[in-house]
Amino acid sequence: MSNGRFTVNRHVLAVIENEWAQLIRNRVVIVTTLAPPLLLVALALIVLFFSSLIGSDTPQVSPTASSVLRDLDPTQSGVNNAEDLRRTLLSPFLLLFQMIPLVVPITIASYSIVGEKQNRSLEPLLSTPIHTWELLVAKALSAAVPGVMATWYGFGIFALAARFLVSDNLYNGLILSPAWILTVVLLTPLFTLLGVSLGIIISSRVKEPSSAQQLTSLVVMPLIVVLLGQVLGLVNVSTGLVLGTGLVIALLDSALLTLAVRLFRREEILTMWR
Amino acid sequence: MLHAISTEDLGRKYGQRWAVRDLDLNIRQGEVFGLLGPNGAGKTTIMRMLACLIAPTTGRATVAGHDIVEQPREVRRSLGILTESPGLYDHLSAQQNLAFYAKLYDLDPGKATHQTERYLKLLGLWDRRRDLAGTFSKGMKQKLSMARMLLHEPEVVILDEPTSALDPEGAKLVRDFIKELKSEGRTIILCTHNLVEAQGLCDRVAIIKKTLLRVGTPRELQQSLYGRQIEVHIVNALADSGDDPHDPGQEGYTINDLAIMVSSREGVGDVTVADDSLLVSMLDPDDVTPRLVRYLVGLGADIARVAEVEHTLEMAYLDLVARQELSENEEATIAKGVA
Repeated sequence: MSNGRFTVNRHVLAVIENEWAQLIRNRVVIVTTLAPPLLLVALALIVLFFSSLIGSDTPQVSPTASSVLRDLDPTQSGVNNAEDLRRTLLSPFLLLFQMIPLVVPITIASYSIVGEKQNRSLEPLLSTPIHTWELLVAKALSAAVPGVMATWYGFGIFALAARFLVSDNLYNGLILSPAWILTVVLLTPLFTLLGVSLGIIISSRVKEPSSAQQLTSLVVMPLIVVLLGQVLGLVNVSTGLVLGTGLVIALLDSALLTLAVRLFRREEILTMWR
Repeated sequence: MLHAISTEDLGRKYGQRWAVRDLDLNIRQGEVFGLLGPNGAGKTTIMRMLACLIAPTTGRATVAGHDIVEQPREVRRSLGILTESPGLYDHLSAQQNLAFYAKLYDLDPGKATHQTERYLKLLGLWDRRRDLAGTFSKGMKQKLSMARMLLHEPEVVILDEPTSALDPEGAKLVRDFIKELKSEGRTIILCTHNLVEAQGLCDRVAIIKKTLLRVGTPRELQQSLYGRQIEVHIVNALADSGDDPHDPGQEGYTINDLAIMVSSREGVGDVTVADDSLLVSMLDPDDVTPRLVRYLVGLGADIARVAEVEHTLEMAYLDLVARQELSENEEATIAKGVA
């Protein structure tokens, strides 16, 4: 046997490679992974395009939204009403960029274990020298990474296209603000990993894929609450908040993956599930 | 004698129900060992315990010298398992399926490529290596699973019903392959319901029904149940009239008369009648048969054929399982009576 690190990496990479090789052949999964971020980008660009037509004499947006925007970036307190409106319209897209990559990866994760069992490939797989944690980490990463990559790719397109549709002030102050960049780069993968970890726990505890998918749909609910909070001005996005949230989510990710390994009862899965 | 697998008081309980208990087995290196038993007898549970897929409730076991509880990863490296369902990834090619498992068994890339090619060629799948496993027939899937099982060159292989889903041609291919594996010196455990297959392939068999009922070579099992039996076919026995066999007015004997007279001879055990034949149990046919034939000829019997009866493993198996069921029913009745 080679050294421990080499072995660990090979097992995790092998499972990821295997999962992706199967995903690539599944057109539905590819389309549902790539389409939402691209649709989101298209929607954001349409909003930006129409908001660019708004004149500076536009009446002020609601006091709550305006206050949220100024809290977000105090240096922007002098911007005009049209700029306020563009900010108000764009802000929810940040959380959408976090939410969109969650849906498909969670669905993939929720199928990961129960799907292997249904395919009868779990028993041969577990009779190899792979550790439970290697299997679960690999399953989580293979589900999360495509969604996150598609979102990053989508955000990149959005950021490039937005350069031509908004003022320098809004572009640098909102779209390329540290809060937005950190949210997309840091929070999106961490949130996604949180979702897929829950999906894997559910997948290793239920006996049928349909039950797993129904339960995992509930996982997205708390994030919708956060999004609504953002829209209603209850939750403000700032660099400090993003970093703090990132730390909490990272800790939650570790805890959930550890919990997933502990809750993975290979005996029960092999002997009780039919 | 080196043992590839050794179990001591091995048992597994699911809730309050014992699936397997008190299992003491020693399987020799290089032998084909059959695990026989009815559905629910515990064969799959034994197989899963040996493959470290489930833990024993009692006892211990070693596979290729490694303890199944203390050294599960070493056991898995020494063991190849063919589950009843192939469990392949249908959306991957034959080559991709094997490449995945080669990585899980930590084969370096060069060896993985070599082993994949070797077994795909050996099992006649090389030309279909790029085809998706989902497009394969049942027999081809089974062969691909066998290739997967052997990639890491395990010392011990466990085959769970390897031919149950195959057509006769596919089943023969698998049986021939098992013989080839044996010739390579691997230890093979064959869980099967196919007793003809077990009789043809296995050096020794164990009949299991939650616990070990009997173990030995197929011939030993047959003899331990039935002893050795000689069939004597007599062509001129009288029709049975129920008369006294020693009636001096009667010319010749009925087959039942002859059975009674033969059963009192030295060295003869039970004697039963089947049509015009006597089935004579004895410990030493080489010694007893010539004397018996002379005796019968002396009584005027015309003997058409004398042959040793071959009991099949199937007969032995059915008899043992039936006895076990009878014994369990009796125990249950006694327990009810006590309650």
